[in-house]
Amino acid sequence: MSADNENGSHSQAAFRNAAIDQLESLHRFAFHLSRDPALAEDLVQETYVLALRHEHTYNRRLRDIRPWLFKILNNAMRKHFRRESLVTSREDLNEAHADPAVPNSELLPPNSRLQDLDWEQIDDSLKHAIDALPETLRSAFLLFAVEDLKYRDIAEIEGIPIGTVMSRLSRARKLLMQSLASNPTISGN
Amino acid sequence: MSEQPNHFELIAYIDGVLPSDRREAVENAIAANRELRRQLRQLVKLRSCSRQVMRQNTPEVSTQLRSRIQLLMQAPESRVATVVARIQPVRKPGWFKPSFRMAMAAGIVLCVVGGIWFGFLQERTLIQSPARQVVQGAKRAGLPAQLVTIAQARHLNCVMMGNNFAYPEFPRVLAESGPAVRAFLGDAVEIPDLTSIGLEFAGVGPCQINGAGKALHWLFRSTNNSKINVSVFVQPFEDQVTFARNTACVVAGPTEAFPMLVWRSDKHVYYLIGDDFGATSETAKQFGVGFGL
Repeated sequence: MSADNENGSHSQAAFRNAAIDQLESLHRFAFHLSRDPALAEDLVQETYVLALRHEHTYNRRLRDIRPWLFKILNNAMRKHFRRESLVTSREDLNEAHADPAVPNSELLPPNSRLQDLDWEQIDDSLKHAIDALPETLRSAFLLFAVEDLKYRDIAEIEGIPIGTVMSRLSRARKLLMQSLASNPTISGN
Repeated sequence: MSEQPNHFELIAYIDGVLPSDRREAVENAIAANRELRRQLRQLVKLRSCSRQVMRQNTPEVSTQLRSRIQLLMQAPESRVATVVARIQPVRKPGWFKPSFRMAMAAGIVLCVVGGIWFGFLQERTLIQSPARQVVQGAKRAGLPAQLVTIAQARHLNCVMMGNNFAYPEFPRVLAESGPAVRAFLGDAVEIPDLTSIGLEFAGVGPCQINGAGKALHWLFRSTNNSKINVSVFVQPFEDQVTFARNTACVVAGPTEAFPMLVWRSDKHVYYLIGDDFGATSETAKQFGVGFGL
């Protein structure tokens, strides 16, 4: 085996190991977006099949594998949702829930309700609040807050400008805080 | 500082993406404003709690999915298309829809009718493709039609699950496994050392392959990191095949994804299957049989 082939083989093995390492993350994202365990597994499997088919297009030197894999998964989900007509389009949803510019004073709900949020008791309410987010906001929020991806990675995954990522994350947080603050069992009101 | 940070600046500050020329101004505003500090704490807590809650509320990745992904990722580049083609969806949503069930029923009827018609044509015209000869050969030998599928599943399962061979009674050294094999099958079985053809012994253990009779499975793996695997299954001969002693039957030929050969001795039936024709054919030669090419 030539040195080039050997390097290529090592590089391929590293790529595949790195891809396998992302299984839990991809599965978690697919599960929380689809809310269907079987569908999530299908989509993750499809992601790996596509990743393997397009392995040659992945630039190992320049790119982190995580956004690349998440983008494949995201596209697979969009395709599935379109096929199943579950949503007309993610952009339509985005527009439907778009807020006008949020004034500084409206960043969070009135502080009387937020001051006493019991973060130790918040698990179920927070999960329900995240699940209730519009799909585009939930997707951006999960990628950022749960999967620790950067703005530019989310922008690439979703195929949107970074400014839109910021806007979605901001709206997601605002909706979550409003939802939590309106829950009397955790807001101390 | 008199200028208060706007909404996006505050969010950008929390997320660590605020441009450096605005950071100091925002930090000054936060230091001077108790309400902003409170909001920051809540937002930071929201992110950390969300991370924790969503991670805790995610089901485990199923063993089935994990195995399939590992199988995919282990496939040599030249075999990716074959493995991908053989991977089935985890779920088949179409089955749950009445329209798909009706379509499937219609399809089955068409296949049965078409199959009878096609078989009639084949008998009359004696047009026999290599694949058909293989199937007919297996049928004539008394082997079940799904034998390749079963053997392939057992083979792949053991390839992926290396600890399947963790049987204390079966040593992980080929030369030392003779007594345990004899005790299990009732007679000694000669399994050659395949290191001379680049295959190392991975393990041996009980496995089901053809019918309810007991069987042992030997797995060999390539030693040169090419991820080629070969399996040998042995059952006591109990009339489960109809061909003569020392006769081999090609169940899946060189063009198949998993070439397979079956032969019998006086007391045993051997099933050889591999994921590479070259290695499978070389292994067959070590047993003194061949694909007859």
